[in-house]
Amino acid sequence: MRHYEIVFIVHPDQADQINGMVDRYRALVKKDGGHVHRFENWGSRKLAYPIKQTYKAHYILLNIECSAKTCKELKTTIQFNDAIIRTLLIRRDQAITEPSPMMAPPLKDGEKDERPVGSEKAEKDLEGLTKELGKTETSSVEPLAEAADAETAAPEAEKPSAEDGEAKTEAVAPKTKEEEEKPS
Amino acid sequence: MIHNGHRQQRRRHYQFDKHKIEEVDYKNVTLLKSFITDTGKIVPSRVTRIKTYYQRRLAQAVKRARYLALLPYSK
Repeated sequence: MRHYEIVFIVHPDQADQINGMVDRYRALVKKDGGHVHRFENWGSRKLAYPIKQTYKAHYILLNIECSAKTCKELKTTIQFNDAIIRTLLIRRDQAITEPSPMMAPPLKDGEKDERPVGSEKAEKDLEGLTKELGKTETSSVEPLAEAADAETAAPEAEKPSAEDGEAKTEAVAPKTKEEEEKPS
Repeated sequence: MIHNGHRQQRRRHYQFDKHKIEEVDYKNVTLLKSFITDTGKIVPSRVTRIKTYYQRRLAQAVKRARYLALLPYSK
């Protein structure tokens, strides 16, 4: 029996049909002799971009163990269901039963984000670097003919992350390119 | 031209192997968010100093999350 992970997104107008849908899929899996290892309803979530002109939708997660034939059948059932606007089906090596990171309680205001990072300093550096990256990208788009502009842009970019060696090399690299082009 | 004689030790931003993360999960949006820029782009590994092994899995996880509208493609 193969393990699969399915995430599907249901249109908010058909939210009341979710329980019926999930029961049908569970029955389909059990009929074949498979198991449902994990079921999660992440509820109504705001989408990062609109899908089918909606900004919110319900997310359902299912970890199942079934044969390839049943999986195919399940997939076609889901595909032809108009209430489901997106699906993701992944093959897994083993059964997963632990609650997903989505089920972790949301952080309250002022509560520190406990996600593991190398160090707080590294996190600050990354913030500086990502801002730096955004700045260097925009400056590279501008015409290279103006070396003066590049010189003014480089010290500006160097300011936010003064201690970071990588940022300096990044800022220096485009500058040297322009300097090389200038004499030619 | 300012020449930085002593090259600073390259810091790793996030040590996946240190934190023993077996799988970079596309559902772990809080983790993935720290590896995308404010415009939604994936930060390159030359900036974050992540090992290629993890960077590839991270990129795959971000792309899956984007497909599921957990992360934006662009802002």
